[in-house]
Amino acid sequence: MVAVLGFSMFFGSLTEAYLRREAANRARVLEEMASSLLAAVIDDPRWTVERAVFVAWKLANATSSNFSFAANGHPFQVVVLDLAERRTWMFEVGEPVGDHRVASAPANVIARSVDPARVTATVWGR
Amino acid sequence: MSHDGFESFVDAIFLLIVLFAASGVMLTRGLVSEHDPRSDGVALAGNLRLALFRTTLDGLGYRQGATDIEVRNGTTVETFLRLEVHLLRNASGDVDFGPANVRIGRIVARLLPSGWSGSVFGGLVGEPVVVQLPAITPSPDRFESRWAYAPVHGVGPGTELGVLVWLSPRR
Repeated sequence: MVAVLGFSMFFGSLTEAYLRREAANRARVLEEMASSLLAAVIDDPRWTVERAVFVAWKLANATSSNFSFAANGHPFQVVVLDLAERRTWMFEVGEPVGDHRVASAPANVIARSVDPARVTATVWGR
Repeated sequence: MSHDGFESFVDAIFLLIVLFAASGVMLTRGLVSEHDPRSDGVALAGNLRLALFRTTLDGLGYRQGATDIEVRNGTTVETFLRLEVHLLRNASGDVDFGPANVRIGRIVARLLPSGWSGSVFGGLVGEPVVVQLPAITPSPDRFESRWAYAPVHGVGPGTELGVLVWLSPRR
């Protein structure tokens, strides 16, 4: 009976540890993807003049497909919000279902002036 | 109890202890997180400082005595805060930066992601802080990014500006 109890506890713990580790790995992968996506947006010289400084008219030419590579085929959404002018640029691909992770950073948008802005990158995964 | 029975009992207890310890180790290892949340705070403080200080504002000004003084449009928050620290430390008479400080404090709050609080501070190097926006007490468990500048008139101590960020407790 002691052996049955002991082994039940052992294999129960083994299963739970595996599930926890898998969930943690999945969350870590999503976090890394969200961070990579954010970095791809704020570092791209096609619409920034330096890190996290966007040029409004250049950002208007960006498309969702410009960012797809950083999300590895997962559904994603990138939002650049100009906090002064209340303008939003949104890029999204796929249906937003399942677990998700968000990475965001303060930024600026150059329009008539240098406005404060916030960039948010969200990646979904099952 | 016979010798064999006692030996089996000890073996069973030993097995139970070993399995119990192994289960504990597995569960603990399953919870280990390799991500260090402090790196998020340090990065956020640096990014917030850059985004805030690069921001330009129109219609910023202050009141000195009975006179309203407006700085030129397109002045960066960084330049304005340096001026504010300089005047609060050196100007004679009352200097009021109230409305401009409220605007800057609001920008700080809006730049931060949800779940974080923060403030911007300024003072002369080696002296107590004379500007803190918004005027809230920061958490002792906070992250900081600061920058030192040459003195406004080229003499005396330099100016230091920075930002503090900390995780807000859920309400």
